[in-house]
Amino acid sequence: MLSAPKPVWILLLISLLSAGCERSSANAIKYSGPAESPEKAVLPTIETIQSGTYRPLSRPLYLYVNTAALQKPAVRAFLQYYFSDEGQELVADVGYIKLPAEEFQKQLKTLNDAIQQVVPNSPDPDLKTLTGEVMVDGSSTVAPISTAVAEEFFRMCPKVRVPVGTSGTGGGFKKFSAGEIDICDASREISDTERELCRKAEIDVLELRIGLDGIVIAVNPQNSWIDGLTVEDLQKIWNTGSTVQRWTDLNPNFPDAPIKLFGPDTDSGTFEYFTEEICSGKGASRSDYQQSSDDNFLVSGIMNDPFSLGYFGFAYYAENQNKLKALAIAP
Amino acid sequence: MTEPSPQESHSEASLPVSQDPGLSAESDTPGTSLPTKKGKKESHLFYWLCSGATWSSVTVLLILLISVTQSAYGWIDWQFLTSFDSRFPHKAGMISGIFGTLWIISLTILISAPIGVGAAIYLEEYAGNGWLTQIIRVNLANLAGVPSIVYGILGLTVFVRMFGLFGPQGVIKKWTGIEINGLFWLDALDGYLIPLPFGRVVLSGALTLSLLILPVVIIASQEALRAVPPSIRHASLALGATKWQTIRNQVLPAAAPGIMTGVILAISRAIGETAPLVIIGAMAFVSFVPGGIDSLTALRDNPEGLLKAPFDTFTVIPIQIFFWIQKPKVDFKSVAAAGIVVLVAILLILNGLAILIRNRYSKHTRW
Amino acid sequence: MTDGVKQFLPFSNRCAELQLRRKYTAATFQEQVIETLLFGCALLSIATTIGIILVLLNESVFSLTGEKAFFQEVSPWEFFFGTKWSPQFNEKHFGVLPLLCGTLLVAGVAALTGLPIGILGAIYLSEYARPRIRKVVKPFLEILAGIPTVVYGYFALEFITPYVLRPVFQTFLGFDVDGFNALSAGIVVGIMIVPMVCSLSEDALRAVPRSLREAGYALGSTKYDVCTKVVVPAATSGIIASFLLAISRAIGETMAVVIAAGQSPVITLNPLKSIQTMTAFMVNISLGDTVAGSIEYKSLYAVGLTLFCMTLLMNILSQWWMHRFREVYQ
Repeated sequence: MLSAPKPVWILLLISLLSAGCERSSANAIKYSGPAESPEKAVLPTIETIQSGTYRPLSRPLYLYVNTAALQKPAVRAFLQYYFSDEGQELVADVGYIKLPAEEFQKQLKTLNDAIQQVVPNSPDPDLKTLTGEVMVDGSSTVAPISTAVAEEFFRMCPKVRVPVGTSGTGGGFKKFSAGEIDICDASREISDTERELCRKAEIDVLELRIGLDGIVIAVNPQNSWIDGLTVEDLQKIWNTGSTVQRWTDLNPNFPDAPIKLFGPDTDSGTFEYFTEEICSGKGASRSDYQQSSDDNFLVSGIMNDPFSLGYFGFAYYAENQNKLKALAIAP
Repeated sequence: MTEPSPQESHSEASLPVSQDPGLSAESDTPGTSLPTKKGKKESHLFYWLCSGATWSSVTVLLILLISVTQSAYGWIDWQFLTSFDSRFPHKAGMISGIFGTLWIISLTILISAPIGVGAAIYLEEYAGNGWLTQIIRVNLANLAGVPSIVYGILGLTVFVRMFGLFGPQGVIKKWTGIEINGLFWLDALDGYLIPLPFGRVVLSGALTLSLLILPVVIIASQEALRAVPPSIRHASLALGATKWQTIRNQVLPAAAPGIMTGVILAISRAIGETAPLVIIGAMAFVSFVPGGIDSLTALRDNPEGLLKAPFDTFTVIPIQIFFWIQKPKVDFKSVAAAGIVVLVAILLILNGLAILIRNRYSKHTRW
Repeated sequence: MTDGVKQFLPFSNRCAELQLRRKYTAATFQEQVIETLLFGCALLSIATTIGIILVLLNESVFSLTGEKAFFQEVSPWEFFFGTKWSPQFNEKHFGVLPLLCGTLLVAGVAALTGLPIGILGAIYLSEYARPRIRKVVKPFLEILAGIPTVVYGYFALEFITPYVLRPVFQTFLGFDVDGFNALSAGIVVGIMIVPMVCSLSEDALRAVPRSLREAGYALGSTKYDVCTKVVVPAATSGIIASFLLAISRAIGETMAVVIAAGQSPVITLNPLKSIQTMTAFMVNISLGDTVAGSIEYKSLYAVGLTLFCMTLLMNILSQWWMHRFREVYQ
């Protein structure tokens, strides 16, 4: 039973495996022309995303509040801190983009109006002795902002507890509609089914925007042949049933090497937003790319392959700006 | 030489090496033919194969621990152990995770050990070989292989939501109009002693983990009870003790080392579980410890925190590690490595305790 | 009373017996109470299984909330025999075969890695090692079992793939190694199951009486012969039982494969490619942004049900095997 396997079987196993494996491509030709970039292409930076010129790959980030929870002074204090200037600074600190000034004023007014409706003329509470709990849960994209705000808020009000969960936007809405949490972080708007669930549970929903996120199309820094893409190019690469496998499929002048694609997995808000804006509909993306829920993996994947291309959130690009090259996008 | 009783094959002592035939190549037992050259070579090769396999797994563990410790070098200090999480890598700490883990593990041991040992005692001592017992046995082996995430889903429905029975939108309210939000209102706590449904609290997590490790505890305890020779039981019964007295005073102490090992192995598994607790609702970020008790002074000032702690929101170390690794800032990888080192240290302490207790009990057992 | 009747009337029967035999004292009552309590503990495991089955069946086969269950919207035929799994893409396909293939691939690699090392280690510890070495190695193995699975996942992703697999397969042999791949995940899951196989097999090997070994030596066999031709065949049922337990653990492993094996469901036998296992899909959906109550979210329960049935079948098989082939020594 424990005799050594015959050499024949080992050879058979190796040949079976090699039949299924691909050989890695030889080093492609070095490109020695100017980098291509379409007209009116915009690079993703804090300014372009904030002003809205980096289109269509910038999206707002939302907070959904249970108006009944506004009766708790802790929740009011937390939200007011969130929508203060300090709170907005934290949005930038974490790697996202602040709302433009008038948008921010608009959101602040919505919040204050809602507070007035629920608890008219409430006095400002003494922050040092304020107690209570604010349950926050939802998207893992928005969670870093909520976490940063909770951390600073804790310094101001040490007796208020703000636990922040990351069950995802869908999971967060499920808990929100069951009345289990006060604030739901969301990287997308609430859907009709979810609104219906809240209505059935008699929960009044207040929608607020707290910041902007941009989706960056990144390539390896050694990529010297392309500086920007049009939305049509992106659609050609990423749409369902796309036949783009090599750089030459985009432009015959590019080096002849296979494009290695990286992107978020299908269960992320980034994926949903990207496919809705760029591809022909929600979820209409090709499926033969490297998927990952951890954007750090996408970053390291692109860093290691000179012929790669991928998309992920702005925060991860901002952290690794010297290791990646962002492409300008022409709408 | 008399026929050795079954205990001896389980005991630690074996024949002294020089007398053990087969190990030394020049064994010269009189009256038998010497092993052939090919046989000796085979024997040697096999020995090296076996010891290579064993030591390679030890080596892999050492490589793992060393690479993690290397990344974490310089990041573990008192500040790291006693501060809360932060968005700055240098300020991040894991005190909420440490206390959360300690609370969950204590509650899990308190719940799963008695039930697991009880079930094992029933299966070994009282149960016959009827169809019900067979079903329970197959069932246990199956439960040991169910993925942890399924337990998370089960815990979410049963403990966190309690089938939607309680609460302002609960089924009980719909049918009878009575809204039950908890049991035993205590003014000292300014709330219920036991809120219903439990919600996303330490107790729900502990109950879910108990269900997860129960099969392991039961199977290991069964093995330990089986190893106790029947002569001990017969002698006790012959002296007039009842069955339970026999079990309590003779069998259990004798089986205690094996049971301890089983419980500690199960707890080691429970400490590292992430997926079921995230589904239950362990948080990614908390700036407090369960019950608010993070030091002896806090305990003295606020003793009702002990009652509140099992019903408090929480986080555990593996979840903190999981979320640190996914953060964009590169330094968080080192912070995560530091968290891993702390977790492995807690694991080592637990295992060391188990070995100590095991050795102490083994010494007292003489048969 | 005969044994045949006994198994159907556990408690009332014993009451009757006791009443016939001796006085019904308080001590006897206490004994019965304790026995009932312990029986209750044992029943808890059945309650757990029933609970799991109900919870999984809830959203997949029937639905208590009045919405449509998963199998009412997706035909079971498409689910069990379809070859494309893309629940969140535009064209939804719900064929579970890619996930099944991924799970079996990872479990296969884990079995190939962990089972040989485990059994060889068990043979070393029970036959060759001195007691001092056993005392040192056993705690190490217990620690190996206790390392959190998240750590194993990152060990596979950050150490095994770049420093072990890439040099061997990509640079030396020329195969393309994805960042996520089934091989690294399978290797760490194999390492994870080594302690289980080792300790259970070692118990089985030690239960073989010395007389069998000594008979072998007396007839002139080498240690290798005795081990492979006498001891291991005698302990086969226990060893196979440990194998099956380890394989079901490998199939059910969650976090390590989520981190190391990837999120791309494809049907492939190439372990160097990124795949998705059933457990990875379940974690992904639970933690992600899917709309709760949608068909994609319900597929989570259907996949969980499939996984549960798979492990149930494997364990019934192992119980039957053990029952049939168990050798009993006095």
